[in-house]
Amino acid sequence: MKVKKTQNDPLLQVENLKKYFPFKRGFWSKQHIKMKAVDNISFVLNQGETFSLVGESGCGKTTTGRCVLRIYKPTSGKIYYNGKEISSCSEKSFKPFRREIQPIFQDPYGSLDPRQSAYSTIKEAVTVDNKRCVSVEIKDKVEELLLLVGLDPRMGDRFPHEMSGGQRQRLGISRALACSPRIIVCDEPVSALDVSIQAQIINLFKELQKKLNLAYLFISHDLAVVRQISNTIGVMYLGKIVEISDKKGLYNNPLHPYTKALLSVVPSTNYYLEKKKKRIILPGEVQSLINIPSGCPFNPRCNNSTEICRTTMPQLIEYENGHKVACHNI
Amino acid sequence: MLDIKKQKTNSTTLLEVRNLKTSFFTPTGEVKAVNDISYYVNKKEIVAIVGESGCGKSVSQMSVLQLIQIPPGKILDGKIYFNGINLLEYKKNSREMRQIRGKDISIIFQEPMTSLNPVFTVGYQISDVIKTHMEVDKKTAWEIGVKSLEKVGIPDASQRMKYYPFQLSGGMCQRVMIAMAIVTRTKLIIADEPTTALDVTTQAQIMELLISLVRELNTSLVIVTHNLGVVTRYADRIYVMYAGKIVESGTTKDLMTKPMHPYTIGLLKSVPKVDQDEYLIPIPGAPPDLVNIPLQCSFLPRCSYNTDVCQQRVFPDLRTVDEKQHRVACHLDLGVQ
Amino acid sequence: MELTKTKEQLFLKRVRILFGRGIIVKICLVIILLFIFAAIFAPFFTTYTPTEQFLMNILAGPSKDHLLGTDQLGRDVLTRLLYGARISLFISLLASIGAATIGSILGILAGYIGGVIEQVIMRLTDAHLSIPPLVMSMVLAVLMGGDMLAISVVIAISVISTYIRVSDSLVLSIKENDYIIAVEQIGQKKWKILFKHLLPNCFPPLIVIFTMNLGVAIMIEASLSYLGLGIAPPTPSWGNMVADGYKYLIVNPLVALLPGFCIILIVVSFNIVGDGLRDALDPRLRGKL
Repeated sequence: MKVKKTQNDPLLQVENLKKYFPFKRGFWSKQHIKMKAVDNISFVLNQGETFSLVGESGCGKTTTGRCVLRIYKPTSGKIYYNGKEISSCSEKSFKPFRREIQPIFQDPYGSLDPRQSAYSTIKEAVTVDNKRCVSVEIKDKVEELLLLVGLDPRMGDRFPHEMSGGQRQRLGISRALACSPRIIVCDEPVSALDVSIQAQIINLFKELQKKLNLAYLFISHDLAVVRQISNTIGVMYLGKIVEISDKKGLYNNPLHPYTKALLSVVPSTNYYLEKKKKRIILPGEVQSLINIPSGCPFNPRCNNSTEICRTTMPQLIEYENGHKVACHNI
Repeated sequence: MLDIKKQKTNSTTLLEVRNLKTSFFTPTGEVKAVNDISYYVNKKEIVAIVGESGCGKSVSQMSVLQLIQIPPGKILDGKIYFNGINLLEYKKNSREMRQIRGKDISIIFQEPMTSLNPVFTVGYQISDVIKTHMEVDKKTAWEIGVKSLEKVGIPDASQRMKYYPFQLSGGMCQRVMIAMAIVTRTKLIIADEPTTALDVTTQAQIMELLISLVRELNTSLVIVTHNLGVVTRYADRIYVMYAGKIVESGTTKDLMTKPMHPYTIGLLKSVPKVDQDEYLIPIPGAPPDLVNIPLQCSFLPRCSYNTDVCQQRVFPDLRTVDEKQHRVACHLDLGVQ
Repeated sequence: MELTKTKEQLFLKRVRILFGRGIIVKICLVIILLFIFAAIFAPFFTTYTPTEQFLMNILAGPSKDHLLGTDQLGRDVLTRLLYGARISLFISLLASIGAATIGSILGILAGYIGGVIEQVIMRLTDAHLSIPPLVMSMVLAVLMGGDMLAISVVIAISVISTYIRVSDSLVLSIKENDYIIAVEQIGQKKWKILFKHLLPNCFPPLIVIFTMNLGVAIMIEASLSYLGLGIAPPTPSWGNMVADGYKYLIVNPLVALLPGFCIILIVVSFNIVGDGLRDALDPRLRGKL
């Protein structure tokens, strides 16, 4: 396995990741169109920190997460975990690290086997590796893991349909933690939960991060949620990162027109702010990934687009202090 | 012809719901989904009904249009005055109710893709609605349909009429649903989580469209949602529901700046904010089981102000707090937080 | 330990739901059990043998001696129905179990392993499905002869494709579920995923199809026997009883109608119980909010 050492040793490093899906238009057509789900993105994730990918449906954030988890094999580009290249290495060489990168899914019900009790779900995660564990030790470990996420161990014999959405999501987190992971890839983990439960789970994420020094790759469409938990944020649009910055930079000084529009339309509960706020309503809709516009993918919907925007793809250029943006007109 | 007693109404009130009770009878017991709620909607007003899943907000709206599945559901009690006439006096499938649905009161659902019939074109479905409620021929209905699609901002309207729902995006489908609602000169649109399934930027577009149409056509709008932000921005008045009951109501300004019920206060503190780094204070516990409802306040187990008074007394009635009709169902008098 | 107690509780709850599903399901379950009981204990319900002929008393209506009358050779109809039940039920059960087991295994493997193996299995299945089951069973019956085992094999081969198709598509859809991905991520071995997660979630729909297919198997057996390709007389099967009896419809309709009625009754009962089973086996235990 190729090893790459960098100066600051980030835990996860994604370089020029591309994932294209071939798509045949019509039965008789010889045309093979590529759906460019992820088109050349790069970012790093450090131990104990959270990097969030934010964007609307079809922007490629979920696909990126799946590439990191090795559910998809990247079309090109490299992913380094702890210096080791994991995007194109063999299954055998990745096996020892598989448990160190764990997923948490959006749908708390779909991510649990409906025929497995809570206890059984965690037990499986615990015993996959350590077959030699004594049964008492296993029981203790399972109880410890359930308590860690705020679940009563007596709920062990409940099935997913007997648990609330929040409890199911906690169980999913507990299963991920059973593998002693270093990175957790969270794909919209709170979007399917009730408002009053979302805060509980967000706080749980933060607490676990501090306690266990976890790194999160947090994928979401909700800029408000992302603000609570991130250190660095990447805004995606049609497969590309259009702006990447630390939290303060993004929310206080958004640079890309898309980021500005997104921030302006997230509804807030601050009455006076809402009445004053100027909303940027983008025309049209998010284009399909098959028909990506030439030049900057955002140009058809952008107020400030000029001639160059229609012809040339803008590169991610550092504006200030780690705040990068891909736009011709800053 | 039924002899319906016409209620003496205020000329500005379009819809008045009184003491509505709807339950579902399941093998585990009676689920009191809507447990005695009363609210009203004036003409040209935008009213929001806010609450989480299971609080009864969707069921209450389905009850207004009598779209509840009769077993296991049942509208047990209450009066629903629409333009002075009690709709519950009409039977579910009566000609009168069918005329009201889709014409006077329209409903837009959460999942735009599944609200439309996938095997018929959009044009066919709109024309169908038009022909049902207006006496016009096929060609005229089609033309009216094209105009209504243009009105909701669908480009290339005459082409799009021939599209099937799967060829349209979520936002487009929702626009079609709105078009179907306004084409019949609806007096009241009920939008049940109209933007939850859409992207944030599309949400903004659809809400702006809906609001502008409502104001232009003098229609009233009831938005049912769990998104407090959407409600802050667009609603004139808000009703907060919890476990089948209304716990607080008032103007948007009052509720958002001076919330008085612990649930509303708790929700506002726990919602992640895009403009602040405030630490979230979640509401502990989970929404209650609607089968075994205790006599006391249903929010009690999760309330941080849990006092002796609350333990001893039954569910508090809505009491008015100030002249502007800010009402709250709480034994305590909680000031501004 | 708490866990095993819950499994028992769950099982009992399921049985209760199956019985609670409505009076019709209960009735049909009872009907099926009665048929099975009658088939097994046939000798206790009748003193006659199915081939015993009373040539003085042919095509007689119901009487004290012969509760359901006699057929064209004077054989007691009730006896023949009971022994015929043995044959029909046994054949259809054997055929269905055989087809279900082998078909499901093939389908599940095809879906799980994918690739070339899946293509081969599924294309062979497609070819198989293009031949109408009755035609196929007729041809096979001619080739394989008319004894019980052969007919069971014939019917099994005719219906196996349904199981292969269904279980393949079931596995394909279950495979996409987040929980399968999650279990792969925690490092679980592939074969363990198959047995611990995929199979148990495939069972309920397959069991339901099984119960409904029992009816199909009985129909095919009856049709084959009716056409003279199935169980050969004088051994009674409901199918050949109908075949023989229809010639005498005017004289004594019971001879043909009664076995026909039995076929209808049991096929409908299997279908309704299959429906009830589907509800009972749903892990969400319908009825709980």
